[in-house]
Amino acid sequence: MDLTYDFPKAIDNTMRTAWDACQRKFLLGHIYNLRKGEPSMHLVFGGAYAKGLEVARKEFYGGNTDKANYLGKACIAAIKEWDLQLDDPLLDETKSLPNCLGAILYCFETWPMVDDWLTPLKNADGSPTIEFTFALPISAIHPKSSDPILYTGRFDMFADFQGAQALEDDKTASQLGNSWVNGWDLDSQITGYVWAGQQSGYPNLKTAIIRGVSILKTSFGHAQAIQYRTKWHISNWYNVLHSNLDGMLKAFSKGPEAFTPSYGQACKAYGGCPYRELCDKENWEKWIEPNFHHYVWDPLAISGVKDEQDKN
Amino acid sequence: MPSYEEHMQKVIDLRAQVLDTERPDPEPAEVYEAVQALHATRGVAAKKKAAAVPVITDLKALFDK
Repeated sequence: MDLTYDFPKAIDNTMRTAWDACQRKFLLGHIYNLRKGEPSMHLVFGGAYAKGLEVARKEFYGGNTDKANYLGKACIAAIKEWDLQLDDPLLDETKSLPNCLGAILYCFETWPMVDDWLTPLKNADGSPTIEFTFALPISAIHPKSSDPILYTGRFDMFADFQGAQALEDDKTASQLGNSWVNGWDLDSQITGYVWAGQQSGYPNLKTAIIRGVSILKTSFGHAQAIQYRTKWHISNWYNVLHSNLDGMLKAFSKGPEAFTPSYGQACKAYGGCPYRELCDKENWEKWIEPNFHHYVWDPLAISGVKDEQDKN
Repeated sequence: MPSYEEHMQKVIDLRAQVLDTERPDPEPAEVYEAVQALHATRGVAAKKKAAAVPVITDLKALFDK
């Protein structure tokens, strides 16, 4: 397999956290774009769930208030989204397609749109501000094209929160509780979203509402976290992002060997790093095939609904 | 009253119809009702399954027979 050594044109939170966890993981996943086997069950589940929520919200806030109709359309959209990636809908007993559809219904039973205190804002054309992407230039420069590197992501919803602007983000999780709620306090994804929202026409944005649904063997659960980001939080995050990018670019200029492996927590976190079997070989390049294939991580694709295991 | 397994089969059949490019999509309300019915019986099925697992409380009694 030919390995193309090129620096990504766009960076997102997944890539930044990969770099932060292990430089080798960043090299293999986001410079060489290698992926092992089928897509992650967690990402497929999250993508189908996100698609279902998007369709339900667009239908409802677009004027379709027939619950069975808009939730049925949401389920049909989730089925189609799932099938693009994995054939077997029951591969995983908990994170199965039927449970994904159930989680979509559960989300709107928990936070029914008909009297939700969080309602989407309107775009200039009158459409609701639901599911849209951002790609914003930052100060770092791409080493080959000399263009600004982009920071990218996908918003689930911009909403009115008691008269203030807020962004809403949906998550699925295997467990919810105080640690899940408090875990968002310093989360870089949320801070990056608030920064991006401020740059995208919502200068007063400070608040993020994160709504989580847990997928358990016999039931669903839910939790909600309300997060605020001050100017200092955002400025600090921006500096850290550029410090990380500085490190990535320096390593890139030196060559692949400069991306050092973690040989620590990142190797065993969340069930084990997918690249562990390569790092365990003297000449890892020779072991890429047949277990790994080339892919390009698309930071703008629907895959934003993640749980703690997705941070692999 | 249909069982959890029957509701599951219904959802799987509807999925097949959604993915079959030769057939029109099922009515959204039918999909909604099938998913809702499936999840209304999910916990019930799991509890029955757990109750059906034999528990040996007195191992000695087995050897005494």
